[in-house]
Amino acid sequence: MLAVRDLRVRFGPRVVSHIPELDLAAGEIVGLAGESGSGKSVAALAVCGLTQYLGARTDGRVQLGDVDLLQLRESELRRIRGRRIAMVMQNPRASLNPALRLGKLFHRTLRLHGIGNAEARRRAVTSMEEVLLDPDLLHRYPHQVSGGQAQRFSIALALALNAEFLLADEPTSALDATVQAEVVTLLRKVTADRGTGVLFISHDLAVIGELCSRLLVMRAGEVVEGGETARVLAHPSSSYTRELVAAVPRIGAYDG
Amino acid sequence: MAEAAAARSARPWRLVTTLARRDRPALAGAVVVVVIVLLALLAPLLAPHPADAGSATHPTEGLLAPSSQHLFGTDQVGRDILSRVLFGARTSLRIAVEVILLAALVGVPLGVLAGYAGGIIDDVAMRITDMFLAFPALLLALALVSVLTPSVGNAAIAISVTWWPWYTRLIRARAAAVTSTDYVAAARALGVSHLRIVFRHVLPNSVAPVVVQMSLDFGGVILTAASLSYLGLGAQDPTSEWGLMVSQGQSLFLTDWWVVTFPGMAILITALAFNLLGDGLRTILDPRQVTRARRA
Amino acid sequence: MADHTLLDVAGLEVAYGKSRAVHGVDFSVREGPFGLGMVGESGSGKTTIARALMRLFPASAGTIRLDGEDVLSLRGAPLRRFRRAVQIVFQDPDASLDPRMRVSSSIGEGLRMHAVVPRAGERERVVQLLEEVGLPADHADRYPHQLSGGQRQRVGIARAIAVEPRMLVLDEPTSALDVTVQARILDLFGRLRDERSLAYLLISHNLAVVDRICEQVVVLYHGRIVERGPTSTVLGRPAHPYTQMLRRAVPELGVPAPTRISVPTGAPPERGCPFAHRCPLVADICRRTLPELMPAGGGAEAACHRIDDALATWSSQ
Repeated sequence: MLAVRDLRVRFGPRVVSHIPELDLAAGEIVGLAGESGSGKSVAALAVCGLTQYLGARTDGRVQLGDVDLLQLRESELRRIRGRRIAMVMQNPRASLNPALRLGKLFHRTLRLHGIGNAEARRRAVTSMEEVLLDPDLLHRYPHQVSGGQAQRFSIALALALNAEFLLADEPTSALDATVQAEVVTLLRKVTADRGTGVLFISHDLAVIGELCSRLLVMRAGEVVEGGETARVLAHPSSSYTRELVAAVPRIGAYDG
Repeated sequence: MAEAAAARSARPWRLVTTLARRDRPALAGAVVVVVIVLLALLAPLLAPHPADAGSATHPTEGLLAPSSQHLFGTDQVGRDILSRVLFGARTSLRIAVEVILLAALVGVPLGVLAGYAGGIIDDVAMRITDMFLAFPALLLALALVSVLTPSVGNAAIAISVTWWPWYTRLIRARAAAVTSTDYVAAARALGVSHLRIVFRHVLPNSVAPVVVQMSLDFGGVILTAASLSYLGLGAQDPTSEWGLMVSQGQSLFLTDWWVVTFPGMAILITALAFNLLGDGLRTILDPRQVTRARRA
Repeated sequence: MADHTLLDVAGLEVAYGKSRAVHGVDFSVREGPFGLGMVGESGSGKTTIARALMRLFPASAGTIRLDGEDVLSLRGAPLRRFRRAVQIVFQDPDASLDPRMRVSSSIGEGLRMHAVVPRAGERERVVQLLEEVGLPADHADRYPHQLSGGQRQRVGIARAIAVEPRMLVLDEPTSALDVTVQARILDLFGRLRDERSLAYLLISHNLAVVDRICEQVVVLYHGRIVERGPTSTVLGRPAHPYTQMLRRAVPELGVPAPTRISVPTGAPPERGCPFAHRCPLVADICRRTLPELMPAGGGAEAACHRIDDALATWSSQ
């Protein structure tokens, strides 16, 4: 469903992110792991065609189904973003317009993509229920819901548009452990039920280990390792991956 | 990251070079400001007829058009306008400096106190500030100066009274933000006294917008002072002050245009130059503007 | 290990206006080397407790005693002594250093304040401290923006230990750092603890970090202690349903995730156990009576009416 080839993002002469190959099938969750400065977030933006706003040059191919996103004009990209690609970002409340009630935001977004009034309202309710949120919350403003609820709302929005590809950039980093667990369970459910493909970006190897069937490890803009999650985490071939795995604090690994 | 750019460019020479690269109009403004300051400082040496700037009069040479002897012509009582314009620069700059310093001396401490202390002190301080802000500045200045005897000094005082609340508002917001940072909390945890915290941490980190505003205000104050003098409530004859000169020459505009035009131009150019300079400073010192400028 | 209690907190209550964030919390920190972990999620009150302890925020009730002396009423010289004895390291390295001060000034502020060394020896001490936290001497003249997040955090640690405290409050000290950097900072904490005989109060939402540094742990929920005891017991065999939920929620490498049922959250009820509306083992008594801390075996205590059932549930997984 999503095929990335030879993706390079440059700021001036410097390549800040380089992904030679990345494939995502429907219903699959692939992880992009790395620390700050690894280029993973930039790669994520590139996949959505957003790097031009940073003043960066992007080369390569990002194939979503039959279209190459990097070759599209802005107007065409806008139609695809939201409809076929949905994004869930790190700070849930920062990505929601604080002046709009959640229901209004939902409604507007759906209408923007040509969905009729009645249909929009119906989808709003079903999507909220699907993410286990009380549809009543649609009457609230973003600052009146918790971080976890806001994050689930973003996912609900993605679902309502039946996006085939969901990009999640550190969606759980700002959340408590129990809330994080809820979001993770939800993402898994969504991909299973609807066949949405998820690209999950995180510095938290443990969460990636839980959620993703395959992953890429990035460092300083380059991919240092990739493959099946279980294999990579159990037997990392790159020394950096080994360092990352060793650094993850574990419960019960120490005495007293 | 933007904070970094701000800290880096705080060093004086860097300021100039950054300005030169990023903001051409600001550089032009800076150059003109420097020229004006120099002219003001050197007025006694540069003015062809320095006595004319004071009380000297030459009734027989009244209203002479610009010539090689009087580059800007003479006014109704024969005084060399060029000399008066040069000395007028001294007057204007002096007023601007007095007003801005006085306003900052009152406004900044109050704003820092309000932002740092919070609570009831903040409320009281801001209500007082709001009261002063509720009056239109020029009207308040007019009212004050008509109570005192019109003069340059009193005009400066009157304008200062209307000017300080802006600095208070400006710095209070930043001071409050700085006070809630972890580094101020760390200082408190170390037991550093309130006074030291304010001077070492709060003040240096909140003063930037005020400095920018102060440079922008030079133009505004000069204009306000000129307005007061124009209305007869600031500088009095025979003091050389641009606004006063405009007032004295305005009725002669159609016949002896030079009497009002040169002082008028002086006001315009000076105010514009300070404005451009202030804008440039803001571009450098405001972290968000830095990114915008870089993208451009 | 010394058994002497360094810091004793009893009945601590902190309120933001009318809203109480901390309800009657008791705990104590032993003389170093020692580590007490304080675990809880956002809204649990852990950061509030840290600030109240440091006298950065007023407590509305309760006592905090250092070596038996009440801390909350100190002024002047005794307060200064307290400030030397208990220091804090903050979470966000980007916000915890004054951006306009060089590293040496930030670290030197405490040194000068408490006259730890004579003026002439200040520079030398700053360099020593930098080396102790693993930074090269030339970093002393740098500004915070010239350092990485991990380096800034080390400067924050140097600043805290400069005044030679006996106890450090660590408020989520590694949450904002990359995982490899985090590991190294945790190593540093371990080393400093032994070399300087420090007592730590480590506040974290990360159970694994707490497990690494702390012998004892306290679990907070909505401003109350719901479980406490030796870390190995509490994390290995949690007795309180909330601790169990926390424990299960933590993703672990190599451990396949059990399917978790998502429970919508709301505000805690007025009476009874604050966890009642989320608890899988909730019973009538839970909604009526607030549970007290009761022994749960292995040196741990839990505030739950159904400890035995909870323990049984945990063992059966």
